[in-house]
Amino acid sequence: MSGLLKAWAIFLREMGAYFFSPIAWIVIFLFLVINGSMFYAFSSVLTGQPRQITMVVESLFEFSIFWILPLSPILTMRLFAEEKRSGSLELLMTAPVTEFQVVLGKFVAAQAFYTIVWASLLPLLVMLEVLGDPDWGPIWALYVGLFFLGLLTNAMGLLASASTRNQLVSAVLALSGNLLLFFLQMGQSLVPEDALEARRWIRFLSFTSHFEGEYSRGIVDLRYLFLYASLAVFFLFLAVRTVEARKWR
Amino acid sequence: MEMTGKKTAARASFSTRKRWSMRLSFLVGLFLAFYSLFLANGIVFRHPVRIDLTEEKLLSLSRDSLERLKLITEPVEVVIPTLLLRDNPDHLAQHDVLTRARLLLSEYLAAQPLIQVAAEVDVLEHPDRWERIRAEYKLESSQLNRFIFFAGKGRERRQTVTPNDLAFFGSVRDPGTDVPEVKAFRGERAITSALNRLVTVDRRAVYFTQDKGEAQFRPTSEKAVGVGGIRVLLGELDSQGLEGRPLSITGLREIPVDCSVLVIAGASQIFLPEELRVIDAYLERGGKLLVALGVRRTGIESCLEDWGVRVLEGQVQSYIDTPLSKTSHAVVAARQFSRSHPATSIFVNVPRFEVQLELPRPLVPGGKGKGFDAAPILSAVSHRGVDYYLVGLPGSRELPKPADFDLVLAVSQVIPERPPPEFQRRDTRLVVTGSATFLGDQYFLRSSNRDFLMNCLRWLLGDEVRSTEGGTEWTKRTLRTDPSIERYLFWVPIFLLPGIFLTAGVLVYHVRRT
Repeated sequence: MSGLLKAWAIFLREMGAYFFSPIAWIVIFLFLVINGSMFYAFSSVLTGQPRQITMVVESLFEFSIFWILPLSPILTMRLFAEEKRSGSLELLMTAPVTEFQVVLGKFVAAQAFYTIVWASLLPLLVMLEVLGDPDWGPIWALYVGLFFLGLLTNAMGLLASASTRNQLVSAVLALSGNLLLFFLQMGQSLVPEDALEARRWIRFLSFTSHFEGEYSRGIVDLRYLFLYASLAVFFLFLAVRTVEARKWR
Repeated sequence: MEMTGKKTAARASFSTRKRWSMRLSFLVGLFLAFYSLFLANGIVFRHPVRIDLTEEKLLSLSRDSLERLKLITEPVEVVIPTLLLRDNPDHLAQHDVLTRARLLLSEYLAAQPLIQVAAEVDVLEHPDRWERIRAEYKLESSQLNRFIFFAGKGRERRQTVTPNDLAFFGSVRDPGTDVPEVKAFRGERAITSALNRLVTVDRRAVYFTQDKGEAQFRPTSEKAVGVGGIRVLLGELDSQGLEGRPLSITGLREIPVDCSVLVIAGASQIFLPEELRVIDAYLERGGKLLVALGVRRTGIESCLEDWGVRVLEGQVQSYIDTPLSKTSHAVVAARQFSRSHPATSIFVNVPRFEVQLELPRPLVPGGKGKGFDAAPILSAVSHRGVDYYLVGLPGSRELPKPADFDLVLAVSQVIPERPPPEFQRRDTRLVVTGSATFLGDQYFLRSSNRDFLMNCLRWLLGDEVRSTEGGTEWTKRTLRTDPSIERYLFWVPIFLLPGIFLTAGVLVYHVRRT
């Protein structure tokens, strides 16, 4: 329990760092301006369609899914790289906390902020509820998918940050990882058409196809959630070992 | 600290040995973690669990479907050839339905791993691949925008699910530009039925009489494929789990016992009395008969009269009166159908329903012959500048007068509300159509001809449940908008909401600074 409290203290420290810097507010502002504009555009263009609201929700999230690419690198690049550069990591590690607690606290903070950014879209969806009758199933499915995908991308970003003392390098590393996952779906075209098993695996690993095929239709496939969560645990494990490695390098 | 001996070095906190030990421990940990990750996901990959969060549970399979999926014990392959021409409204509507059905199909794949999608091909994007698939699965070039299920060692069993099986489409004002709206989606029933028929190994036989000048079962030359051939119909029967077989009625003592439906399509030669007796005996023992009449009298008419169907003299033709032209046509587009009869009630929500028959002979219910009732299920009724006339009456000198005509009758037993103890239920069913051209290769895929004929066959086979199935309404989800709400939609998401967060950020920054 005391271990969790220490991680909680780190979490609060990191959340404070997010919200007391102007970066967080600017990120949310830009996120809302761009997505709000798209929301208005989709609502206007799709007027007259019998499934207008469903299509607005699908289109909005299909567009905003691209935010995953830069969001996690921006949120996580500072977490360890900045502390390493300034030397405050050594100071932090002199406190009675383990590497695991530090990694956990920072990770949960990044995940919480990531969730807040995505939750800022909720008022737009409430507007749909006021003006129509949206099916909340696909919306919740999309949020569940985004949350679990955030676990993966944030863990990957945290590992990138723990691996370097340069924030820019950390962001580029995390972005590269996200791009790899993002464009995995295109790998299907490189696989022979008859290699159905390989194609199924690529589809299983490609999160863009999960959003297009399942979440936006209101389906939650627990396999994908397990995949994201297990990969997140794997990257967090590597991040803990990377932070530990400073002792014996 | 000076290292003078091995003992001293061993006591150091991070000696070379300990470093290597840590590196080794890291690598082992990395390997084990990666292996666990791969193993766990490999297992999970094979066991999909999907949760449908939609309000209407559009993508949840019913208990009945799940139970039926358990009956599948052999691999089932699915081939999905698609063709989408963006300027074709029908294609757009079909694409919408097929996309939704494809998602539903994923639920089937998740519930029954023996079902696998073997090929999904966009015909426009990958024409070469489509050719290969066609050759491999023995498909016709017209078999597009549908799910085709295969089973059996040589893929000898197949079932097809088309967009019309999957959904009801609404009517449109301009068929050339307006996209038909999907009124109701019935994908689960269509796919489950197709799979059910696929796993039923015993294919039901549909016999076609062949020695009275009927539509040709196996055209002997390419020239014969056309009006006289029924190759397309046979392919369709095959895709529905039915097997078309030729039958020579000359000298036949009785119709084969495995005959599920007997079809007499377009006979032009006289039936001998003993041949008519064979047909009558088949009907007496509960047989199912589809008679598509040819232009000449063949003697089958007397047999039909015994079962309540009278065939009138002459043929019906249409007269179309428009501001530009006034012409008569041999092809009659019949649109009036029975909304209550199970063979045709499925068409209630189908837009542009019409069955095209060439010079059909008019039919009249001829009373309750043998306790059976003949119900008109398709008629030619005058509408908006289109009238119908009876022509070809022998010895008639009068100008024909426009009238309405029944062109297809369905015959089944009349069951009293309170049947007496001696009442015997009989399964005999007949469908009599005034023309046979609509099931020939040239007409079969036109308008609603295919759907109409297949549904008549389903009714004859006793698949009424399928014939009368409905479907849940496709819920409309639109925004209530007016100019004031549109302003609200513009200002709130683009300015107000981001502005709130920006103001909060400025406030926090200001407070921190002061």
